[in-house]
Amino acid sequence: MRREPVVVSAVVLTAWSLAVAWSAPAAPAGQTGAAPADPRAIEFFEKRVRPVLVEQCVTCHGSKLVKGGLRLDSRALLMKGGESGAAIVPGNADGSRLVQAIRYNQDHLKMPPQGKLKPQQIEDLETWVKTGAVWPEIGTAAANSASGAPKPGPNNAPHWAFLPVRSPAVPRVKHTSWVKSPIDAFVLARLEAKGLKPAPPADRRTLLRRATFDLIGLPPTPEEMDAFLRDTSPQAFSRVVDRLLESPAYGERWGRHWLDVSRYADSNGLDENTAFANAFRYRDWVVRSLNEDKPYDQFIREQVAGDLLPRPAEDRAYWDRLTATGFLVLGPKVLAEPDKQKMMMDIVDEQIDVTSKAFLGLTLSCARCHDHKFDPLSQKEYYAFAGIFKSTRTMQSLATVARAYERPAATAEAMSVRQEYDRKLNELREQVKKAVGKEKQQLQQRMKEMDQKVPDVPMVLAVEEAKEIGDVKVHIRGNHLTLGDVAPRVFPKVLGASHQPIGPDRSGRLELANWLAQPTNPLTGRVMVNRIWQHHFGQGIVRSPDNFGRLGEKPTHPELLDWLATRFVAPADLSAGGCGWSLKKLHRMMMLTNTYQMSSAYDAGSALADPDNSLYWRANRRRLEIEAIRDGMLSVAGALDPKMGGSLLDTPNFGYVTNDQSRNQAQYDVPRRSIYLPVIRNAVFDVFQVYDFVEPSFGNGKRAVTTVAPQALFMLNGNFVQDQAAAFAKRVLASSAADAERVDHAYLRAFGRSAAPDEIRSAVEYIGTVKARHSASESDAAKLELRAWRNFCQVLFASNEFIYVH
Amino acid sequence: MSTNCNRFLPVFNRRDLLRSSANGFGMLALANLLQGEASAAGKAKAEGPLAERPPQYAARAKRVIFLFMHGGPSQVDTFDPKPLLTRDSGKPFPGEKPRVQFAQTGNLLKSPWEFKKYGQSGTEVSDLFPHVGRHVDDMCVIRSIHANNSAHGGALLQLHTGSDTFVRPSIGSWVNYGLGTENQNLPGFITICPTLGHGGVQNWSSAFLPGDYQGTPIGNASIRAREAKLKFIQNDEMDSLDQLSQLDYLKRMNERHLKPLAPDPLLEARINSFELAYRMQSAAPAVMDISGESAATLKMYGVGEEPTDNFGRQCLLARRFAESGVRFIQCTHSYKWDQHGNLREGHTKNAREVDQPIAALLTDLKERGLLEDTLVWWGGEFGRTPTAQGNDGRDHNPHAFSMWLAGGGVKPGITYGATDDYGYYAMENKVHMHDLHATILHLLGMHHEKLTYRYAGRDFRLTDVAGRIVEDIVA
Repeated sequence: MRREPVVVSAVVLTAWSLAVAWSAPAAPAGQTGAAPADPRAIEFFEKRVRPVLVEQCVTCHGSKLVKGGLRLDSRALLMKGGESGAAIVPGNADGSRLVQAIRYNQDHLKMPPQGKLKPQQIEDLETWVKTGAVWPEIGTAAANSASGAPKPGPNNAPHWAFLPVRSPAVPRVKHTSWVKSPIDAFVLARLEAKGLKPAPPADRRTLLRRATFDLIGLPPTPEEMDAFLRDTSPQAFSRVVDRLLESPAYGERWGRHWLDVSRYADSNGLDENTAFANAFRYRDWVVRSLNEDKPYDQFIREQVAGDLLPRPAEDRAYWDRLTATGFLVLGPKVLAEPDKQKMMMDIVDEQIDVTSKAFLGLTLSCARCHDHKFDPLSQKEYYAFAGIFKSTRTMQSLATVARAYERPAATAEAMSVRQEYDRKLNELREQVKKAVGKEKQQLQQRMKEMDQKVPDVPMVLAVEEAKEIGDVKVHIRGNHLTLGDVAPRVFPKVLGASHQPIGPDRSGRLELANWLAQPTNPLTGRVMVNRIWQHHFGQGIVRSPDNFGRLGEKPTHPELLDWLATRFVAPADLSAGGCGWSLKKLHRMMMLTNTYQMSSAYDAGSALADPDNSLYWRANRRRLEIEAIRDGMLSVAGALDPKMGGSLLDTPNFGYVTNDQSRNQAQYDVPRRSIYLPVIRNAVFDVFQVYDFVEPSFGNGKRAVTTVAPQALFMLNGNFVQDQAAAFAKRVLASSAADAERVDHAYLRAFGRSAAPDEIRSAVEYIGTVKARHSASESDAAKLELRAWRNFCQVLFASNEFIYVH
Repeated sequence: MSTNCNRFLPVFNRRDLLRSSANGFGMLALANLLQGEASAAGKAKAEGPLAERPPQYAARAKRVIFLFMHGGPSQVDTFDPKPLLTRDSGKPFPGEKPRVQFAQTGNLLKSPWEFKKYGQSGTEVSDLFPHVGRHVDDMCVIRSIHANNSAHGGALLQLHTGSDTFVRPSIGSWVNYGLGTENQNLPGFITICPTLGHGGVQNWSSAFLPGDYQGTPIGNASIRAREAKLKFIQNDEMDSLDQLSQLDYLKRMNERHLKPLAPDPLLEARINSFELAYRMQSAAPAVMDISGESAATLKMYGVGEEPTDNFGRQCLLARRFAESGVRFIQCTHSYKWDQHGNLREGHTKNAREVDQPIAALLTDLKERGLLEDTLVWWGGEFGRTPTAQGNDGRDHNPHAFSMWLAGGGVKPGITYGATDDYGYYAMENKVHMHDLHATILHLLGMHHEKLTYRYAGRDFRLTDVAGRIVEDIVA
């Protein structure tokens, strides 16, 4: 390498392209694989050159149209040129016909015909030719090449995430005594290489609080804490993990993580915010599936093609699978879009986006308008996916205001009974219209009675195969009015998909589901183990959980990631300890390690060497998500209603949840777990909004963690916090007659530890001060007491110790 | 800044406070809080993501006030006079109608209102806006705005976020992302009584930008401006002294907790956030308290009178927020301009509600020297068809509509662009919504192609892959 690789950023790029100090014409890098291209040059090409060529030139000079015999969609074709000769001479801008044409100063040679390019674009193309016309061979060219195998080479090496998952050997380490599991070996090897030491183990109270919040999203009760401290056997922690994984609250905690990824919501959002009154059934399916430890491959198949899997014997199981396909229907859609063709393709795009991000960590929807600029995904491959989803029925109709498709989760018999009721009710309704006086009243009464008897036939948001099935054409620049070649429904070659053309009788969703859920898919396993890791360790091994592409983060521990992915997808009976896609086994694997059980203690030396703890020299201290904060308060206050499932949305199905003059009618003032509160797009619960809840219109596997004043305002002034503080205070007051013991009890519940003597002293003093201040105005001693303790309990809720797990 | 500092001091005096402090409050912490408070209504510098940042190049405007006319006011009845439309009223539209229409319309319908020339510039304005008309010499009326979506929802989203298809950050969020805030004690992006329909929160959402840049709503369209307030800004159950003592106790508890764990910038930031919250709690209600405004000012805005009270209050609040350093302020005149029928009565009523308040805002900003660096932007999500729906209505028309800008570095006293003879399509010097966004960012000192944010593998911007700065209207 002649040049040092540099971090590519917009700043560097600009400086580079302006200076063109990047001297003599480089060898045609990327062309032969002989000379590696400067990554800056590739980035420059991808950012400044390829978009111009794609947008301005290849419509007429590409695979579809070959005007003048010239194609501008690969370097080789540019060199070959058209009827008038080569389009570029690398290194010689003035001598390149392409450059002459875009300069627009020769009458017979002005391109593009629709108008001169912007000065910056012309300059960029000149720079690009001058500096050797670097054009990386990977990318589209590779994806479309006959072999499909990306070519080797230092800079155009295939991207790590698209290569098959390897099963790396467990590394050797010096301090073998620290290694409780292969995971520890992978982590320790990297630490030792840097001369770092892992932090000491967390104390048992901290560990139990961490594990309990991690797995069920609630704090440990004093009884649970006590039991764990008393269990001195080596299996104590393992037993805790088992107990927590068996708790139904586990599905509520981890179900919410998946709902972030699957952009779950109870309303459409976007332009017409109508209710998805049956969406909760998908949410409950997620919770149930996780509690049952449904293998992840099956979890995928049901969501993508539950309706197409072999029908199970039990109706209930079949309905569950229909419910799962709600995943494809839940997206936000422009329901009053006047242009129905556009609407159809927008819906398809949303499905491609959520599916590719959730399961593959790929931003495939970047390829809607042009070949993916950074990953080897062609526009044609995007439209191959589009054909699958366009052949899938997602909507009842596209007429304004459009409605999402629903299917009954009930027997045909139940359906016909229901339809009979509906028919009779309609008849009655007509009669009521005509009737008068007493007769009208009687009829209305009958209608009311019958209405109550109508059996509930649950409907679920679901898909089915569309009536019209087929491939779609490439939409040039993403525009449905300019169509290109037909894109047969196949899966990306770069991910090792083999080519089985999908027949004209089927959408291809089942094939897609099976391909996603294959153990050999290089992304599926990696992406999911990374999601789980992130929630246990505070950061993913890949820190961009939804983007494993070239612009995503690189893994901090690639071997560990592959080791985990290998184990995750391997059959469970394998002696090597496969999980058989079981998430619960994966949790155990990650938690029963010294890596997980480290303390979060600071160490100046390690912090200097690895400031963002990417090598895991300590546990990451983590701010709880708002659900865990809210549920934690309810739990500590003794107010949590443990009822599972069901809907808290009052709006009728497809009715407006919000519109201009209406307030959001969703009820949030219920002591249920947060996962059951309605998620209203365009009007997310304000408490959730200030605390970094996901934007429920996008699938998103990583929440922001901000610390802003409105969060503090909620803690200080929110009625919810004050109400829970009052309930907590009552509990604390009832626990003992002695103030010191009360303080201790409050600390045990809120923080999982006893209060230190100085803490008890200052708490008692604080409470005394509050009481003293109000003693003149408040004659009721009990009320005075409660007020002081409520103020105190609210401070505990607002404290850092409550909001963070350590 | 003339806002009185003492008006929003909590309801206790310093002597009480010091006496209680003797009972165990941390003197220093309280002193700090009070000191913060004293400057609360002044502009307090922010740190972190909202820290004030210099523009990319010299800015003409420091802030924006957007007066949003939800529903789609008719261009041919307000700022775009069309003599041929009057002449040919009742005849079919001679041109081709758009491929996608929201609804079918009939023949041409002339404007029921007369247009008059105003000011030195002689810009024509219809009789719907006599007050605003007097300000034409400060305004740049753009008659050739066009956009893509003919349904309210899509059009609102494109107007606010640039995209009528996907969830994208709002322009106010982009502006805050680019420039930060001038006053950390107030939100940097405020939207007063916004609509919850047609995109709702998406219209002031930061989408994938960090949550710090989210717009802060004050009330919503179903609430009168006089009742609108910020969420969680006041405590219904506790007096200030109780709260101060809580804050002090919390701070001590958090510092004790931090000691063995330090350094931890996140824990420290959270400790500070409570003090900031306390200052915000004082500052925001103070700015929103208009009781100190003179009778003449209130009268000018039409506050306390109908039909102007509601929008008058919004405009007055907008001035007060602008003065206090809020970067992007939106007022919404909600979903009233959608006259598919009842055009005469509807547009008359709507214009009466907003005309005087808007004129008052322009007068007020100018008198205070704020118009120079405040960009005032007026308009709806689309225009209306020159052809009739029924005999007294017009349909949605994204292909041509008028907006105007004033102050903040735009050329005053001009009109820009033109529509066809009947006002159906923008024809001359067309300004797409992306172009307008690019121009607004430009006036704020930011190039729309360089204000980018990397999300899900690519760099996003407000103008997506389009947008052109309309240099002709920049002063």
